[in-house]
Order: sequence, then structure tokens, then C-alpha cells
Amino acid sequence: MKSSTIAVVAGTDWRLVLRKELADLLGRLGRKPLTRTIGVVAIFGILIPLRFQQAANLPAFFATFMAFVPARLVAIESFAGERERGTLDALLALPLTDKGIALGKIAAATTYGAARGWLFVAAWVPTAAVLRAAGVLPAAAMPAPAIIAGAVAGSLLVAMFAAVFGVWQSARAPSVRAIVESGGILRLVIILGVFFVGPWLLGFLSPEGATPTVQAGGWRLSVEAARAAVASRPGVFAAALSVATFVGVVALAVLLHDTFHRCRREALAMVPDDPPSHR
Amino acid sequence: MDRDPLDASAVAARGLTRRFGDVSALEDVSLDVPRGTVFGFLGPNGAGKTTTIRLLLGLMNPTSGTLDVLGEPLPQGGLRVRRRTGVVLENHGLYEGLTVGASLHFAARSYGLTRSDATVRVRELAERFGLAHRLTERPSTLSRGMRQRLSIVRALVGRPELLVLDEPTNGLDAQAAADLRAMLVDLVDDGATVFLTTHLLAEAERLCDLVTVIKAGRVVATGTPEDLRRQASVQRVRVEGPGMAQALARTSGAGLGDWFADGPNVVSIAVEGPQGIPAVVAALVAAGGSIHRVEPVGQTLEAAFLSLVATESDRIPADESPVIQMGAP
Repeated sequence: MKSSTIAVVAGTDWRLVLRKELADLLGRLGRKPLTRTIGVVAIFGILIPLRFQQAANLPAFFATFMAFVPARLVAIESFAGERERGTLDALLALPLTDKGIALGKIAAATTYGAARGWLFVAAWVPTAAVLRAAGVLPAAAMPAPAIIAGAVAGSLLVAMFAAVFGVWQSARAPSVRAIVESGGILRLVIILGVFFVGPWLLGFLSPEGATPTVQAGGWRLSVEAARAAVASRPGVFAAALSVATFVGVVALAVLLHDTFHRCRREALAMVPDDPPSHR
Repeated sequence: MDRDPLDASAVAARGLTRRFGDVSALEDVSLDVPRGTVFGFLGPNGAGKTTTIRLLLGLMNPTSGTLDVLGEPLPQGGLRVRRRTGVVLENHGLYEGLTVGASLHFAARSYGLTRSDATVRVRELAERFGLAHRLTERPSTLSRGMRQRLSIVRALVGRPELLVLDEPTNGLDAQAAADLRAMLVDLVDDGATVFLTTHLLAEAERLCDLVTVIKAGRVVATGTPEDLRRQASVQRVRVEGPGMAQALARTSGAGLGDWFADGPNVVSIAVEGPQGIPAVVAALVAAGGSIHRVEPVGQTLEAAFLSLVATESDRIPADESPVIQMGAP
């Protein structure tokens, strides 16, 4: 990270933009986020565990998904939405740094997404505990502490990734619709990844004995096989994990760097496909 | 306000050019806007006014040429210029999710005011501009005039040395427009510079110390409104009657001066002084026109503007019913 970026992080512009973004977003949405979260908790936190009583880690997985979707929606709105609503030029005319604006928007999408995930966890865990105490939910349906911690940390990480990637897309898009229409295959890949890799990772990271259960049959076996393989070659696993972490961090840093590049005023002020309309 | 004599221009542009691919939005534009004046930047739609504003604010880099604003070279000094500049955009650019107070507070904080200073400044301006009782409301509840007022207050929170206004009186009622003009005069008295784009030429004539007319990305005239009126070396005659634009089109020019049609029944034609009026009337009658009224028009800024921006390609085809078009036979 360059020193100028560090200076911005230490500055106030991004915090101003973060507060403005969240206030504007909540002002426009009203109570929708709260009612939607209650609905999702009811379905994925209560009804599904009741129906599939072994699925203790399923709500944790949905917590990360709950973080991903809102973070992405807020992020793709960040610049393209302002462009559509006619507020972008007014924002760019203020004496805020380019990086402060970009970072504030990333932070807003991350905060909003992670908060939605955390709100889900905060509603799900006590509800499950009450239902368990009342004898409605079996013990196997109760989430392990590691799963809850994974849901909390995972919500933040997933929201952060969705925010950076969404702002990166939004900086160059003439409208939100253009992003949605252009991301069909990418969306499919992300959803498949989240649906298949997410539960598997949760299962893999769960403590022995609290292994979950959404993975039936082959899935569960593959988790156990992977655990056995790791136990037999811990050095290889540690090296692979280090490489994967390094690649992930580098990829995020490159994406962040390119996002800042895309968020320069000169680039943002250009409507991509209709230059004469700038006049 | 202390002023560096070498830095007397609020805006100084030399050979400013901005191209979008093959399209040239601005071509070799030079401007000097003295500090403490109201500067009018006039031009038809698509002339390059918004591109110029974007360049002034450092939102866009010129393809070539130099631009200094408040003594700061752009684009390098963009952030410093924006700290000393307030902007009112034509579409207001207000956040619908923020209350009036939150919008103003955000703007004030972005200009570097502390939290408490921002609160005081917002309160002071809200009271001055009649927004004090609307601070907790959302912009969607405000009338167009009040939204414009909010946009202006937002531009003033940072105590700007340069105020850039893009069509500021659009949609305002007469009283609100008069209030805005009075406010601009006060600002200039306090030492600020106002850079104003407008299509209301009477407004520019009343307010501006200096005017530049731009057409197709090029400066076609600069001077005081009085200078421009004089530069427009023609007087005009306004002729009304049923189907007058069609009659004018049938004359195929016939030695008439520049003209434009203001609807199907009204035309305005340039004449070389009052002695040219009978020839115009005769030509229109010969072309079958039925004249109800002939009115010589003095040299206004509007007449000068129209004569400066009129082009051959704007002529009305004989078989079309014109609305507001301009022509030069």
C-alpha cells in the first residue's frame, strides 16, 4: 500500500463519505433492511433447521450470504447509482480526495453488508437457543461456537470482497442496470462458489464432533477425507494455506489499487459511451 | 481580500482544448475572468459550457492548453481549487436520503470545517436563506425553488472565493430569481467571483460585468454586455402575421439579413438600421405574407447573442413549420 493511501486512511475524508453513504442509504431504504433480515432469519434460521434438524451450520452459511448480497448491491450502486440520480458531479465538486471518496464507499458497502450478516447471526443464535431450551430444536441443530465465529468473521471478509469488487465495477458503469446485465456468468460462478465451497469450508473448519451436517453422503465423506489428508501432511497443508492466503491478499491489493485508479475524478467524470453529453 | 497583482484573474485559460475521441468539445478557448466580478458564459446547448465547468473544477483534464483557477494551475491544483470554490449545478445533485441539515453538514465538513463550526455555519446560512425550519426534512419534500436554494446554500458553506453557477435561475419563480440575483451581488461585494452560465440573456445583461459567448466549443465574442450589444452591428425587425415563417422561407433570402423564427407566425430579421425595414416588409408581402405587426427591436444582448450563434445550417426548410430556430440566408 502506498504512503498516500495510508495518509488517506488516517484522514477524515473517507469517514465523512462513509457516514454520508450510510445515512443516505438508510434514508432511502427506510425499514426495508430490518424487515428483510427478520424474514430471512425466520426462513433460514428457524424453519430450515426445524425441517432439517441436523443442519446446524446452514444458518452460518446464510449469514455470509446475507453479508455478500447487500454489500454487493450497495457497492454497485456506489458510483453508478449516483450517476443515475444526478448526484455524482456534486460529490466530485466537493474538496474530498479521490481516494477518500473511493475508500468511503468501499467502507460503507462493507459496513452495511457485514452489519446485515451480523444482524442475522444476532437474531439467529438467541432464537435457536430459546427454541432449544423449549425443546423445539434438537441439540444437533445448535451451532458450535466456531461456526458462530466463522459466520461473524466470514460476513466481514465476504462483505469486504463484495464491496471492493462492486465499487471497482461501479466506477466505470453508466448505470446499475449495465452492471447487473453484464455480470451474468460472473454471478453464476460466485453463487456456485458460495453454495458449494462455503458449506464445505464451514464443515472443514468445524471442530471434530461438531461437524455439521448439511453435507450428506459424499460431501461429508470428502470433508472427512480432507481432514485425514491434512492430518497426514500438515506441512503441505500449511504451505498450501500460506500460498492461498498470499494469493488472496495480493489479489485483493491489486483489485483495491485498480479500484483507486478507476475512482480518479478524471475517470469518474467521463460517461463511458456518450462523450458529447458531457457538454 | 488581499490580491496578488500577478494573480488578478480568478480564471485564466489559454488555448484550452478538450476532445472526446474525434469530437472536439472545446477548441482553443482563452478566458480571463477578473476577480470580484460576475462573469457570464453564454452559449447554445452543446456549445461546451458544461465541459468548461468540469475543467474549472478539475473533474476533467484538458487535452491541451493551460488553465489556472484562483492562481492554481489545473489539473495539479484541483483539490486546492475545489476547497475555495462552490458549485451550483443545473440538476442540483441533492441526496434524497439525507435531510437538508445532513446534506449541508456533510458539505461543510468536506470543506474542512470542524463539527461545531459546521453546525454554526449551517444554522447561519439556513436562517439567511429561509431553510432553518426545513433542516430535518428531505429534499423530496421541497419545492423546486427551495431545492435550488438548498443547492446554493451548500455551495456557500465553504465561504468560496469562486462560485460556479450552472443555469442557477432555472425553474425559479420571479421572486426567488430576484433574491438570487441580490445574493450574487452581495457575494461579489464581499470579494467573491461568480462564474455563471445561463441561457437567460436578460439575466446575463442585468448581472454580468463581463460576458463570453461560446459556440461549438469556440469563443466567438468576449466583452461587457454593452460591448457585445455594440458589436452586434445590426438592428432587428420583428414581424408578426399568420404563416410568417413560411413566407420568409419562400423569399429564399432575397437579400434579407440574418433571421430566426420564433414560432410559425413570428420572425425576426436583421436590418441595416430603420431604413432597411421597408425592404423587409416588401419582400415578405411579395412572398405572400400577411403582416399584422412590424416592430423594430433595439440592440439587446439577446439580439447580439442570436446574431453571434446563428449559422447557415440552422435555416428553416420552406416546407417545415418552424418553432424556435435561427438562420442566416
